[in-house]
Amino acid sequence: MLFNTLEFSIFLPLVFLIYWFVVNKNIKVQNLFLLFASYVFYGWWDYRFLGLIIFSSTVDFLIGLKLSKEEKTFNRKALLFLSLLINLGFLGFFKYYNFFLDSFVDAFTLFGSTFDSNRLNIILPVGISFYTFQTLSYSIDIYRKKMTATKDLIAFFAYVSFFPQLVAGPIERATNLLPQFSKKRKFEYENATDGLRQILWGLFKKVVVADNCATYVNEVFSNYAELSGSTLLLGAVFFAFQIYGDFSGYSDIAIGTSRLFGFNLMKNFAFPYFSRDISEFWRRWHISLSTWFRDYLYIPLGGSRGGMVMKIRNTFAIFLVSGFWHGANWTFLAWGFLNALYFLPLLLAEKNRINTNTVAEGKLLPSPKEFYQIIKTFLLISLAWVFFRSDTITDSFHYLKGIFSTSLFESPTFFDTKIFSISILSISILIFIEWIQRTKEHGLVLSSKTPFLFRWSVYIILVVLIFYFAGTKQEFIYFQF
Amino acid sequence: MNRFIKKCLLFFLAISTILLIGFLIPSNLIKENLHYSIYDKHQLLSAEKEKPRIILVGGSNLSFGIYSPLIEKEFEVEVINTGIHAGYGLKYIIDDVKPFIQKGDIVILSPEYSHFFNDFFYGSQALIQGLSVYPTNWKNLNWRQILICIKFLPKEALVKIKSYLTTFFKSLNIIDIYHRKSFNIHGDAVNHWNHPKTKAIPNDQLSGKLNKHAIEYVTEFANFIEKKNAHMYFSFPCLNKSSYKNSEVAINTFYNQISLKDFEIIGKPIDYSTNDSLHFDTHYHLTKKGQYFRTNKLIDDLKKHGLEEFIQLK
Repeated sequence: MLFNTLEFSIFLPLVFLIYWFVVNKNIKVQNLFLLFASYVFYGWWDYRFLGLIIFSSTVDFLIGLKLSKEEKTFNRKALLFLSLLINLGFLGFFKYYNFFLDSFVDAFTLFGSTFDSNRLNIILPVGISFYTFQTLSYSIDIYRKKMTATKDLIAFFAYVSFFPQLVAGPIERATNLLPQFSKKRKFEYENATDGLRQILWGLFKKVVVADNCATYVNEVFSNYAELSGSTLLLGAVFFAFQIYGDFSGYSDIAIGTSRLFGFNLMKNFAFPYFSRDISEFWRRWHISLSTWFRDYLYIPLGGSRGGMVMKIRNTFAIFLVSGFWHGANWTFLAWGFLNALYFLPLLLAEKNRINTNTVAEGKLLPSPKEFYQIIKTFLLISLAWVFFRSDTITDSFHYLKGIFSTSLFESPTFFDTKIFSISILSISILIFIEWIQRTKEHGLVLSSKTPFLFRWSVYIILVVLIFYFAGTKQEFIYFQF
Repeated sequence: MNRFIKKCLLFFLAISTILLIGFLIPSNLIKENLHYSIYDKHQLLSAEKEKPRIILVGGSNLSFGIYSPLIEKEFEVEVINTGIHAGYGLKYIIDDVKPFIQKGDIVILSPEYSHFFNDFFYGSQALIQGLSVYPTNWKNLNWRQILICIKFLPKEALVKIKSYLTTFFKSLNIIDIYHRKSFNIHGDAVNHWNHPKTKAIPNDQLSGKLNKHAIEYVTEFANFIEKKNAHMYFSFPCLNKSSYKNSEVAINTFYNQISLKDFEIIGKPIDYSTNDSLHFDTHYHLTKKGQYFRTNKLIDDLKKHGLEEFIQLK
């Protein structure tokens, strides 16, 4: 089930009412109901893959229990290895089998050998990369003795499959989310209303910004060979807003929905396009994944404790793995590699933590220097997104070559001028509102002191914009990961 | 909690009121729009005729893709082009034309490819626009079409509000490309011939699951026509070459499935993929030159399939 569908608009109020009015007496029944609702939500897409979540949850639940009782280091390591093997095994099979097979065949073809490969027609289960990482964090944290294993099977299953964040995150750590399933949830008016505001803002970003930009982006990327450099640059910039609107919009809806049920999920985006350097960008973009890799990969590899060589190696490792996590294609690896290259000068100059505060804090506008830094960072990121969006590495290079040609100074092609204008208008609204709100939790935080008439006018305008300017419905980009 | 529920209901009421205003605006204010051309096309269809007629059934690939006088001249039969908008969905398009089929009619069904993928067979926003012109057609809808209508009701209400407000500032009597009066007496779109074509034709890429219900529905329609002692030909739409290239795998899958059916199929998809230069503003809308090209191609294929003999027999 997608958040921007009629089905979800019926599903959510129904689950909300049953959750708070029917099953609210007993926490176990409430968790059981959440589990049921989550499986309905997931099964709406393809019920056959529910078996995979149930199996993955069962394995980690049992391994967690064993790990918490086991004292011998060897046995503990073996149990952790088993968890990694099963979870990453599923992920590897469903997501990477054909990629490795094709790459293997291609490599041998280079040396003159040819042989038939048996490609499998594998459907990628929605959200597998997200819930696999979520369950892995549970096993690893128990292994590291950061938490104790839960004995509550229903709570654990509900944690793994919690519907707001099941298919596209934020990737929650067991240490944050699991205890919330053991505590009695209390309805808090302020939290719930702010959750609704966050959902509304997320819907605007997804349905108006991302889906309208997608129309232009699809045109540009399908015909890039025939288009001018200026159009290609515009296409890359629009894709930057599409992917931001799409993914941060999804995260806002997920977090807002969780708040309606009394759960607090981690922040996933912190206005990343106002970053002054790449390092700041990566602290503000897909935070739940970046911190996951930091805690479970970068730090175990030695982090920034060793010498410069080790720092560089670890930086490349984290960016490449992050790229590969996004998809089984060389384009994602190239995207990760390029971001690592961007990051490298900051690392070498030890300037990767100079912009840790909010840009232009307490000021209306950024200084010329900050403005230049923001634009520079945004353009670098937009160029890297070209790899992310292209079908092949060759396409990416041709696309970039097309940008840096003399036609960069020609007037761009707009295709459908109406959709183009809506995209520009929605991007402007997005930038304006998020700039004003950049110190807040999300784009639509409004205090109760704000006049009622103003608040409601904002809500109604946003709803009207969502209904009226909704772009052609596109799947959430991150569902494919 | 009560406060929260009350506020939510109040907000829902506020939004519903705005939308209700949209629904209540009399639609005759916008009766000159493209969708109202169905009135005129129905009038052509409902006339009792002694001689067989050629009825073209599909979306705008037909209205913007065929020039009926050429067919009429060639076969000496009346041609009615019922194509308006693919967004009605193939099911609605077929259901709408069914009551008008008469003995001896020759139906050329040419839906857009997208009708056979995912749920487009059931329509999109245009469905509700079509229904607002012909509310009695509600009775033909199934639950999937009703869901589509519910989904697009809010947007449609806002569109009506906007149209209503716009009429204060400009007359809708200006006949542009998408207007009730943009069609000739056969139902072909011709008004765009005097307009400059779009610089770059948007590309399409078909994806998703082939909808076998759509193919079955076409089969049932063909059987219905045969029972009426009429005849149906299935023809492929005029998709521009770049979109065709993008969607070749999906189109071949579709072709393999539809060619298993018993009804008569004219030509192959590739035969009707047209050069981008022949397109006017979308991947299915042709320029005057394009309309002539496709119509002549269709005439040739109809001759090969013995249409002349069929007409003589009738």
